[in-house]
Amino acid sequence: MMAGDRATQTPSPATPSAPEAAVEVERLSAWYGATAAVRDVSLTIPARQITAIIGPSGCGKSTLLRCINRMHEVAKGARVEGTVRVDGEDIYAAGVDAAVVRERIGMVFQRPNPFPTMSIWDNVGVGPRLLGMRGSVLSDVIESSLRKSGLWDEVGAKLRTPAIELSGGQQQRLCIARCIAVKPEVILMDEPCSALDPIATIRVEDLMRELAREYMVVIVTHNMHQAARVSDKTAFMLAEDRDGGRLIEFDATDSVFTGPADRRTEEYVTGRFG
Amino acid sequence: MIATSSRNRRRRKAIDTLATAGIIGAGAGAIVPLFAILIFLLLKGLPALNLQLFTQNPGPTGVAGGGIQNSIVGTAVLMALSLAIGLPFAIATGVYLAEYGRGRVGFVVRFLVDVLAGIPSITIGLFVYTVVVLRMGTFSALAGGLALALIMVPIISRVTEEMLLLVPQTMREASYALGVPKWRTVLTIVVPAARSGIMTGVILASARAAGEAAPLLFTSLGNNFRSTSITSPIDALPLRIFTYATGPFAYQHAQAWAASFILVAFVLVLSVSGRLLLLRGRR
Repeated sequence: MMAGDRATQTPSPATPSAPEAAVEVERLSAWYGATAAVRDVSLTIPARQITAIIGPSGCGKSTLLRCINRMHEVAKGARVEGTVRVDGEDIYAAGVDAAVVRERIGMVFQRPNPFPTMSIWDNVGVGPRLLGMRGSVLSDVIESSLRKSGLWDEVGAKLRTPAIELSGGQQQRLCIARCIAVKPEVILMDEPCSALDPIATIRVEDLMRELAREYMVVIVTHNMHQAARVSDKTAFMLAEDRDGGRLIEFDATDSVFTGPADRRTEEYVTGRFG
Repeated sequence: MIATSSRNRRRRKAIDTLATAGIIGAGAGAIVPLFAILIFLLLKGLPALNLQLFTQNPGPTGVAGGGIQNSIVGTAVLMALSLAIGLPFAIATGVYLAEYGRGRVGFVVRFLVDVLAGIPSITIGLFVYTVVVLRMGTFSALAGGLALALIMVPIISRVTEEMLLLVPQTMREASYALGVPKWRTVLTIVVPAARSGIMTGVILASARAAGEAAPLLFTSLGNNFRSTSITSPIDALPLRIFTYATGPFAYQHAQAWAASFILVAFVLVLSVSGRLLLLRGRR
């Protein structure tokens, strides 16, 4: 599979067992204290595709992402309005446990953040273990997660060594393995390659395409080329009036980059600002 | 132009030399008392040190000989008791302050912990005397352990808080993102990551408590016989030092020096191992 032609492709063929999760964001606004970060965003993210959220710094793309698995509320003074539905279920409804939401919607962060005191094995195992997995079930999950993230051949022989001894790119793929070990339906990635070198970036991008066969992948990136390379659909956000970022355009990646409907999208993707 | 004002340059150099000399002098001045004490202890304490000290209880008053085994065992029992009583509270308080106590309640708790840290240890002894000793009708190791625990708790909880706050937020987020609830994140990710720092705090607080005599005066009282019962009075090294140093007999003075030497050596070992642990944890 060539790196460039992904954008023009139709959704990857479905594996029958994979859940048909779609994420519907409706009239979502988010604040940090009095500062609006996201304003009135509505979009429906399709299952088993890669959706990229792009836009200049401060446009609220990371905040929007963090609203999708209720990580936004971890920050002090954070507030959310609107709804996010996963498979038709409102994750902000009363009585919904944020921890359960995050179990179904995993997240990979900008800087690789393996647990530094833990071994490679424990890093991947910590999630499933807390969910009650033990023994051979646990080792199977750890091995298959490491295989899916393409790390098994590199670290299979040194699973007991501390995770921080891995390279940055390996650490990030370890974080992806840790994320898929709890078997989420959706994987959110917040600028997952911005701390990585070009080679490691390519490996993570390849991995994203692999993951999109089974999971919905939503990636925030400030790298337009990355969005063009890996994503099926692209959302462009922009904060114009210091009142939080709004969704300007959301379409197939192809059309966003070659024939954007909005003048501002065109200016951004052609590099006139941002 | 480098050589313009060589007078100004000379003046600045002189001030620099003077200031450096002053700082080195002040530093040396601060270290002198410490070394003076250590040397004094070595000179006075080492000659009085013998095996008998560790294996015998004090003899009849006025009769030379005997040992301070009762005090050494007593200090060990008191340490174990105060840690057993204080550690759970102290760690829990520190976790609360760092992870949950962000609002008004947290502010009040933090303030009270600081106040507790500032209360004179003799006052803590008095408090435990009224609350525990008078009710139990007897001085006891339990009362002494409680008094020492009250001294240790504020130190350990503030160190715990600080060490937990040093754990990067990204690590908590990594755990939340796996669907791990907050309390489990704190217990399985955050506290273990801060473990060596917390241990250091525990060791330093223990060292501080081990040297306290005042809060034990009317809680554990002292005992001329070796005791390990928590409901009876118990001896401790600082108490023995106080009794012997103010006693009339020469052998008592010598044993007070020896006891001081043992106590300081114990505290020193604790402190140094605490710092080493912290260094290892930082790496």
